[in-house]
Amino acid sequence: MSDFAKVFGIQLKARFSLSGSKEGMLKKIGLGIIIVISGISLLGAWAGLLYLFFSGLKMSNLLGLGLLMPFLAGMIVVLIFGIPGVLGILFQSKDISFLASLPVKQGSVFASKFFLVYLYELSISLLFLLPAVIVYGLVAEMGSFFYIKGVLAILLLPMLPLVFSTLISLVLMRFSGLTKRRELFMVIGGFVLAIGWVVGQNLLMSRISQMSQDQLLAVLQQADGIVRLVGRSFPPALWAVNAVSMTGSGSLINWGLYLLSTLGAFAAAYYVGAKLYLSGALAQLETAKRGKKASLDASKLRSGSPVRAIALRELKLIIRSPIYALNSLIGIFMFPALLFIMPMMSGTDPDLQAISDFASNVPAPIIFVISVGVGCLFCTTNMAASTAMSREGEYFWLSKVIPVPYRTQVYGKLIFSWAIDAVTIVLGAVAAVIMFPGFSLYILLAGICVLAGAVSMTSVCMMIDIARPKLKWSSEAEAMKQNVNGVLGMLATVILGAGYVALSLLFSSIAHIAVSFVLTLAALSVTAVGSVILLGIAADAKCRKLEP
Amino acid sequence: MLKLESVSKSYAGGKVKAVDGINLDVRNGEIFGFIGPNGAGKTTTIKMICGILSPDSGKIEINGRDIVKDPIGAKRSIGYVPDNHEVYERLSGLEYLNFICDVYGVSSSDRRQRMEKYLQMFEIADAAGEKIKTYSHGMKQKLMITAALIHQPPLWILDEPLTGLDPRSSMLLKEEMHAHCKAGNTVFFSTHILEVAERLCDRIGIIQHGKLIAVGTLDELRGQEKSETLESIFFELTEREG
Repeated sequence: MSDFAKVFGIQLKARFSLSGSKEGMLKKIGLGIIIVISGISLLGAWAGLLYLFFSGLKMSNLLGLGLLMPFLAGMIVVLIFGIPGVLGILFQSKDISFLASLPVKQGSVFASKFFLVYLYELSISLLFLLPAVIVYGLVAEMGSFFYIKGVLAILLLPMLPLVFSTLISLVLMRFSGLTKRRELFMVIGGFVLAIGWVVGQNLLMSRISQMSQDQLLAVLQQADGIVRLVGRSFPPALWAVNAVSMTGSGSLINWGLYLLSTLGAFAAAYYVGAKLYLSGALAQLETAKRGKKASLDASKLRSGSPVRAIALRELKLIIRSPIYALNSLIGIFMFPALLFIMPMMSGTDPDLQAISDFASNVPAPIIFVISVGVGCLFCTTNMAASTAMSREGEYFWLSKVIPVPYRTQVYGKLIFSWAIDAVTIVLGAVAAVIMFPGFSLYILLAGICVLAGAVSMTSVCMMIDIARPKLKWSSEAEAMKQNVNGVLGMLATVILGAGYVALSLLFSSIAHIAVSFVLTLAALSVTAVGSVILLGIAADAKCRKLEP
Repeated sequence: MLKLESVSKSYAGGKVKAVDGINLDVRNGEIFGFIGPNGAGKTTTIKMICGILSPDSGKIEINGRDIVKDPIGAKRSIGYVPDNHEVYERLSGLEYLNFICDVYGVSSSDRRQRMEKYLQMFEIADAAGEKIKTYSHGMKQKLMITAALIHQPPLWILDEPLTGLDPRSSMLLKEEMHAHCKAGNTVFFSTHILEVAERLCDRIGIIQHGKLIAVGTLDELRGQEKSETLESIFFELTEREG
């Protein structure tokens, strides 16, 4: 067995407990079935949306654009959200010093860790892209060979963007070694890179919108014109799509380009990783003292309640961990930025104007309902709530020892997790009010309702994590990014959010906007209070039995 | 101060009996040493006393409070130092101690005075502002001890407290243990260093395969086993029971 296979195998076993008991495996299979069943409804909705999208494109003779969009989005998502995964698994795992001590080439260690991240990203890509390939194939009436090519293309898809994420992470590691505040550097670096992506993407889109009408018409008149235009921003996505959707020599040439770029990029990453990886990873283990003497002045030793102490501890632990910060804060702050702030920065955006014109004809209650829906969407990505207990990991013994009821401990965590949602909702509402001043009142009313709704969404995510916390992990990425509770939490909040939108729609259809606001707020507040009570009961019942 | 009645704990669905019907009464003003071979059940017993693990059967009382029925009341009386050093590494030492003071309700003036005392005593005052991640093994142990003592609990539960400590800190901790017991409080600690147990403890309990095979003062154990040193008593007992 090769060094790579040995090192990869041991990490797979440690991560997924493949060598566990039969009972444990059965539980995992059972959980997998529950996730699949609950996910089918969402995947069904996703497939329905894709069908509408592809059918519309087919009618406009733009079907070629269809597969490119999900493939391009998939690659960009892996590129951006792969960075926390790479940082966590490659550079901040607890087993790095152990692996470094083994008589194994560092290239093998690098490759084994790279493929662990790849497996995770692949599972996410398959979930979203496989329906895209199937629906596209049905709409475009493709033969069976198309589906095989589609699956092969998805299997390769995460590789190239992950190589870029790895190279970006290697650069971050290289420069973080120069500063004493490595973690802060990585958190800020990660945010800057992500915001850079948003700016870059916006510039590309604004370049398209700046084309004259004649130029745009010329592009649109070619069946695959816009495909080429968008695909130019990331050519491998275009090669992948062409390799799948074309036939004959066109397909072969694009397969060649796609395979060459993917495998070539991995070879380059392997070459760099084999030379630089362990020195960068081990540098993270080195202690970096600031040499600042602690002061015991009164301002630093102010006493507070246990709930406040726990909420503050959660805040410190999240913002000081690049993995936690990038996973739980970046998505949440990026959504308002993507949806609202960037179009504002690009000046008079014709699309924004079109949305505004369209919205001016929409009845006020519907604006209120849409705003509730957008606000709930923000809350669905709060990974801090759905991993609140799992993040304790081996520190969980302390929660068992301190003389603070489990209910109180969990409420401290709830306040912090809800605060993330609250900041996101407030930021999003402010941006929306600036952009659509005519709808300020409805946006603000919806924001108030979602602030109440976020309490129950956060509570439900926490209940899921309390019911089955992942306390054994070897890297923070495993506790948060690769924790199935995050996916379960997302599913639960999507369902809850849909329920809240349905409620607000119901109230809006039967009453005046002021009354429907009061009714929606009352309903969401009742749900909030109920969920907080349930969370307390769950914490008392479950945490008592949990043993680290 | 600490009472265990028929306490048992099993793992792997009852297949492995880690602690088997332990009865023990640790009195006020006493340093009690808990010794035994690796895997004998010391840490499991200690974790049950502190509320980290739940006993399958039996009763544990701390300062008159049942750890299962009144966990909060019982935990208030305990200062616990675990055998590992798993503590929030991204917090600074000072932030960790402040957190502990908040959850135990230590007032601002008390926490300042006690932090000064212990941080200086263990010579980690200069490092208190640094992240715990940067601490050495011994420094983490000193921080854990400080955190366990800062709320002045009547019962100290220390699992291998001397591991990783430098000789000076080790001596100071032993002096603190003596002073604590002189004030009428109790120390219950596990150790592998038999000489320390011999010199420090008022009474000693020896655990083997989850069962308490001997309890008593050193003189009582000597009388039972006809051996002079704790080391020879320990080997005789554990080999006979094994």
